[in-house]
Amino acid sequence: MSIEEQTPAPLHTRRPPAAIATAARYPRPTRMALAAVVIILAALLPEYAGVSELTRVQQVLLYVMVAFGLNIGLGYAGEFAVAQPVVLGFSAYTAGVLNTHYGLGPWLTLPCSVVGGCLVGFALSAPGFRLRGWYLAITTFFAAVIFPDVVNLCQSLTGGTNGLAGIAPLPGVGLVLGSSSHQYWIILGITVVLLVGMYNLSRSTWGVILRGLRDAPLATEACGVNVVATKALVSIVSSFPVALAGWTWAHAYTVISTSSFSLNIGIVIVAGVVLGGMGSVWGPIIGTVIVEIVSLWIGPFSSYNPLVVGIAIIVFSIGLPRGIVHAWGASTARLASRLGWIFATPAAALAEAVAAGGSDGPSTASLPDATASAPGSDAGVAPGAVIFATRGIRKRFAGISVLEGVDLTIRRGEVVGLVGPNGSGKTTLLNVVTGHIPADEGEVLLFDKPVLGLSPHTIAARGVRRTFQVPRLIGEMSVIENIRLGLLGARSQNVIGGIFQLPGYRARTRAQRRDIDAVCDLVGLPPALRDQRVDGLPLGTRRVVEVARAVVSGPAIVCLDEPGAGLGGAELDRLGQVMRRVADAGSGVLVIEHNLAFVKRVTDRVVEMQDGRVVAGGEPDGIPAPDAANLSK
Amino acid sequence: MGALVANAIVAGLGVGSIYGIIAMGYTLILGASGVFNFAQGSAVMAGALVSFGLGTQLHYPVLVVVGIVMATGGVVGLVSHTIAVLPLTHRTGISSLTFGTFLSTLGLGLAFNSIVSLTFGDGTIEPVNFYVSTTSIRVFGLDIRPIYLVMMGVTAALAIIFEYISRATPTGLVMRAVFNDIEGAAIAGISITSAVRRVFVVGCMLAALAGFLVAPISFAQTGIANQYAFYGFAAMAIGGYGSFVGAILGGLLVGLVGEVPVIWINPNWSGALIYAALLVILLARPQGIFGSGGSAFGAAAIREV
Repeated sequence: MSIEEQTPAPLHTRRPPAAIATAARYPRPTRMALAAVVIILAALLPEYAGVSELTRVQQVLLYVMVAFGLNIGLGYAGEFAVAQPVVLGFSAYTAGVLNTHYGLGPWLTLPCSVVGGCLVGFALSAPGFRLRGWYLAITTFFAAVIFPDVVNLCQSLTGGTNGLAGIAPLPGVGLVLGSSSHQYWIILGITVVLLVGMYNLSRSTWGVILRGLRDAPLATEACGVNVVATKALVSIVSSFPVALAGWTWAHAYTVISTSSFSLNIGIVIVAGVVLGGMGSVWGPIIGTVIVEIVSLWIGPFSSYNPLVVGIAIIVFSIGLPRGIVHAWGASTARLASRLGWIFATPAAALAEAVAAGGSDGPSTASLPDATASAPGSDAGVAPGAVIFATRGIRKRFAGISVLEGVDLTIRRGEVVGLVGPNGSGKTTLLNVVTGHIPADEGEVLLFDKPVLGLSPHTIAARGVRRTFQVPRLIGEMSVIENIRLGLLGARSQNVIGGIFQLPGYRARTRAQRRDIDAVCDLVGLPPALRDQRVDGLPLGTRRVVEVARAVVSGPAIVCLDEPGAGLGGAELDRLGQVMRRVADAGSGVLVIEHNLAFVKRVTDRVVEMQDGRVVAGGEPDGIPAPDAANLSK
Repeated sequence: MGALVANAIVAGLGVGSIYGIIAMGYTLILGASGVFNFAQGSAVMAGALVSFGLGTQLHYPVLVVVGIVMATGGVVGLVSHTIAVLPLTHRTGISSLTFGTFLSTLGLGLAFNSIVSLTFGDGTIEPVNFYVSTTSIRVFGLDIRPIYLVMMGVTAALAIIFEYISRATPTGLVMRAVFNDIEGAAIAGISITSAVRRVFVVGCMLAALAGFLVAPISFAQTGIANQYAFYGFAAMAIGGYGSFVGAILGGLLVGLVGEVPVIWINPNWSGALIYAALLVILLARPQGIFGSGGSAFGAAAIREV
């Protein structure tokens, strides 16, 4: 490690852009008032708009509902499944067929159509449990391509290419041509309810898990979150608004045909959500409204429509790849940084807070009780008792032996350093312990119970937490929310409670906040930092945030993978203090590190590995000098 | 009945080899750039329409038509790369090149198809003259339409040519390097931009050639752009991304699934059957039947799939 790396620039000279971005966000009352004004204006529309305008706005609202679905799946959870056209069509046809063939009223078709749509959304997204990225996108697009054919083939039920007519209107709406104001208000009401639900979801603990899935899937799994189960839930939750839109569609228009549910609606919705800004509450609305205004202006059935939409997609995907809302946020943030005196929390204050962090002396805070969230733990484990052990771990990769029988024990309250040259098997051992790589032989005991062979999220939930060489955090979320992710894997999170912000859910969220504040005190993250976005924080602070996330659930042991890499003197000292405090609070700490001076300073015991074996394991000063020189390269 | 099935199998293999050619084009472009090019379907359509305009209407000689079809495909590839891919390369602020270009090439394909629809007509379906005799040949007691034999022969020849180029020529070496390790290739002095551009041109040329080959059966119409884009993707995904042989075998399988069962059921089911086959195979083996994490050009690169 070179001298420059050892002594980085003083913290206060670094510019933390996150502070600016956070400062430029409108305060919550302002945003609420803006939303209320928009909704009231929309509700008053029948007063000054004719039937044809109302019909068009109603069409846009239905598209917005579909866009909500895509925004939850793609924008928040990062799952590129574009099943929306099929879900929409399936729900609409379910409602239509049940109503016209079997005489079910709109209130009875509602649950059938919503449940059916959600199930179809789940089935279409199922390949996503094993596929990623555009593979999933094209597979789901494929379904949208064949859906009209399949519907037309089931002619006896669906009316085929003639469409399905004579569906009953929405509850309480008479049969009218176009849109009555009553029908318009129903659709607006559904849209507003879905908007509030999506807003609540996005800022609930589920919002944290979804963004974790998108930005840091490995870390989310290492926090104890079952990734596959979460993806399955995402596919259902993101289908819900679309299925509801399908039901509304069928009963609002009373006539449906396959031309409404083709690939084109998928393209228009993707364009709207991306243009507006994925992963924001207002982005999909703004984007969809713009796309639809353009589309209606050209004429929905004009042959120039796909041409203009196509060109718009090219222009915006290249010019504004992150969408209007994010581009607007970034430009107002730049403006705010030039007019820094207008907004509170200037950049300098944050820099001071970063610099001050950790220098506030030893903390008296303690970790949340380890036994509360680590189900495998024994309540009466005394300090110094062995809580974790590996026995004879062996691992071969394609015939090359990487681990040749590793024995390692960690006691409660102990900081153990794991050192050794590159390729000695340290990180492989860590990955075996956390369940990311299966071992060939041996056992891993946590509180004398075997955990080897369990999935990574189960092992994490039992109380083995880790950090990564490069911090894996959710950049757009605050320090608090990132640390909160560490609490969310321990027990299943109530998605309904999050959407409706139920009292029990809110109480638990407040309790979590107390735990998080306690951990922040423990690791020395000052209050001024806690609501900042993490993507603008210095590396050392992000490492500390990751450590805090790993320890917030009160784990049995915490594994730190090269936490000192790239950190300078002051930051290293602070990290060392953090590790000591975590151990004093009751966890065992295993730290993989190349910087021997740092290891000697902060650990109780050092284990040295070479060629897949433990070759030395004693007190920090017990490493023979030649090895030490070899290691500190 | 036996003859019916046998003929359907021949037709499936013939059309399937077309899907295989399109899948080879996808594989080339994906391997070198990580981009799934939606405009590839437009190149297929362009091939069919050029074949109709020059071959059927103006009676140009077949080889001239093939030459112009390939040139048209090359232009589509060049335009795709210049408009939809190059501006997003090395851009910060997007989650990934694959995601950004997914949208930009989707938009490009949409715009391209609608321009063609505006000039050619959206619902227009024009028959295209056969480039070979329509008289059936008797092989092993079966009456086989020669066009299917041409399709299979061209595909086999293309596979051999591509394998040869990739294994035995300097161009192939450059391509393998870019496939394997794009940063390493750049450090070794290979111009990635021009390598990727060439791959786009060649990949879309293949797609246009596929459009030319299939035009007498599919007819000249704008609808084939989307259909062949997706069936080609199914061929690549089923066969296994990263291997030419896998792409062609996947194509043959998709062809069989699309052509054989429709002897007994409504032909409109063929799209749904192909989708079902795709789903089943991707759920069982996400890397596809013959894919082993990528073996195109003998390399093992799979970026951001």
